[in-house]
Amino acid sequence: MLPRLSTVLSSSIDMTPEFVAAVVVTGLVVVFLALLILIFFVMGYGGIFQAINKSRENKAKAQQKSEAETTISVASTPAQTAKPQISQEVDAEDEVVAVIAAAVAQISAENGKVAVIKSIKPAKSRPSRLAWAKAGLIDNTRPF
Amino acid sequence: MIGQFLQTVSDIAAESGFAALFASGGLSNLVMILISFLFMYLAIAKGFEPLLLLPIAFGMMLTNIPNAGMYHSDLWVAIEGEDGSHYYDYGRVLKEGGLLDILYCGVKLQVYPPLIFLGIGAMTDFGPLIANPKSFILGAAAQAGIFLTFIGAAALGMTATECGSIAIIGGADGPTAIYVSSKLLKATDSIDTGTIALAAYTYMALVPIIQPPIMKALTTKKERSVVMGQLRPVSKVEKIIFPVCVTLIIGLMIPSAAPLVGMLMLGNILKESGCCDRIAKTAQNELMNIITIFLGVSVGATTTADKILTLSFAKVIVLGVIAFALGTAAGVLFGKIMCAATHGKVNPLIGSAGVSAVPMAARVAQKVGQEEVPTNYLLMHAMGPNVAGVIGSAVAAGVLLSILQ
Repeated sequence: MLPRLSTVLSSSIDMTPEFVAAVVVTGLVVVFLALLILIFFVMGYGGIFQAINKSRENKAKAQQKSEAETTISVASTPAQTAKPQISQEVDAEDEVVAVIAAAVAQISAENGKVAVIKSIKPAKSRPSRLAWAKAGLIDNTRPF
Repeated sequence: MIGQFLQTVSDIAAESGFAALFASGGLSNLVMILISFLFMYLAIAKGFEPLLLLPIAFGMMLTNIPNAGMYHSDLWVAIEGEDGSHYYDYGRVLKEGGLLDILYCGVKLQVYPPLIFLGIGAMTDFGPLIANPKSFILGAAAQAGIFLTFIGAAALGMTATECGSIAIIGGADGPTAIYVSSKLLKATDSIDTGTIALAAYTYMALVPIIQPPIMKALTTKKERSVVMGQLRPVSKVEKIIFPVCVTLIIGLMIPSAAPLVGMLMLGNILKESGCCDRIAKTAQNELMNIITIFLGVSVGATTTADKILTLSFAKVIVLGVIAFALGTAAGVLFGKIMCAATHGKVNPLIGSAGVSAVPMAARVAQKVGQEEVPTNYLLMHAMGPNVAGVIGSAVAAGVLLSILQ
């Protein structure tokens, strides 16, 4: 049977001024040191992530800029037909006109505004990609 | 038959609590019951940390009902083993203990406070701290209140473990105070875990009264009027990495702080990961509520007359308010140093939020700042030192346990 004692650890520590000072100094130093280490660590990885986020933002802006340019080039023909403009009439295949008219009609139905095709004219310079190819590129890269 | 009936009634009356109240030592039970009414009034009518103070006060009332047998302080006398270690006879507790003895096992086994920290971590946003890591310094500075109070307790003749338990009140963190005192204090000490918990939660509720005069006394109007810039946005990845790294760094430096810091960060990563919503919600709601009830009522049960109606309890009350005041002052003074070092970019008032009373201390900093400049929103800036103080008080607890245990 183990003896039941009331002797406790607290009575074995002598509370001399030196011991008290040692506890206080040790406690303050350890707490400050631990939190200083955390400061440097958090500042370190915070800096890394800020640099990564900044580079991602720059890439995203560059991507958006190039997509915007592509979108403007592809949408230039339907956009012009959605706004009344004075332009020269040119030869265009009937099927192409029908497709453009159908697209304009769809846009009108969606946004409730009536759009009228005033003219259809070819782009001044031949684009590097055909319109459908560009539309497909934009559609596939939109999530990024 | 009538005789037997009268005898039975007489026996019941003799064993009743009413008879014990008028017996030797019964008056102190009555006084303790009346004191429990006072704390219940403070919790319910005045809103003093009711979630914990009310169960503590009710536990105080339950334990002081004579002959109820819900708590037995003699079951919690440490036994010295052959190798010099100390332990409790949990088998005897389970066999002979009452309801509150069984619930108190969670306190003595150091289970409840870390689980409370789990819930706190699941409710805490460390974003303001990650965005401004210099707030850690203010959280560290406020813990000076703990160690300076240690000196005061030693000067009043308390033992080492009593000094450590009283000093931790200065961290303004109830679960940490209960964790440290339950590990350090023994049956022969003049105070108990319940004493510490009562003082800690009462003063935490008084933060809006204790702090503002100290903040205004130590700062100038110009310093209080400093408007701080917007914090940078913090990404989700940073918020996920933070708890892992803090746990490893603090756990490796001070292993005795690992239970508290580890559970705090576990709760936080459950929340921030976004893939454990169910258990994060359980941690911050159901689990937190259940542990709060068990912790409160069982800690309250330790507040027996021989631990409360003593000069030592009066010392705890005085030293407790000194600890809070010193912690606030140290945080504000470091805030002034940071203000000078950054050429006026840091408002010193946020230093007072380095005490761990989340989010009360941050709200007090916001309120005092708005008294000078109504459009000054210091709350998110003050949340950084506030949550840093939770980590700082856990580290301070680990240091005290390492030295004094």
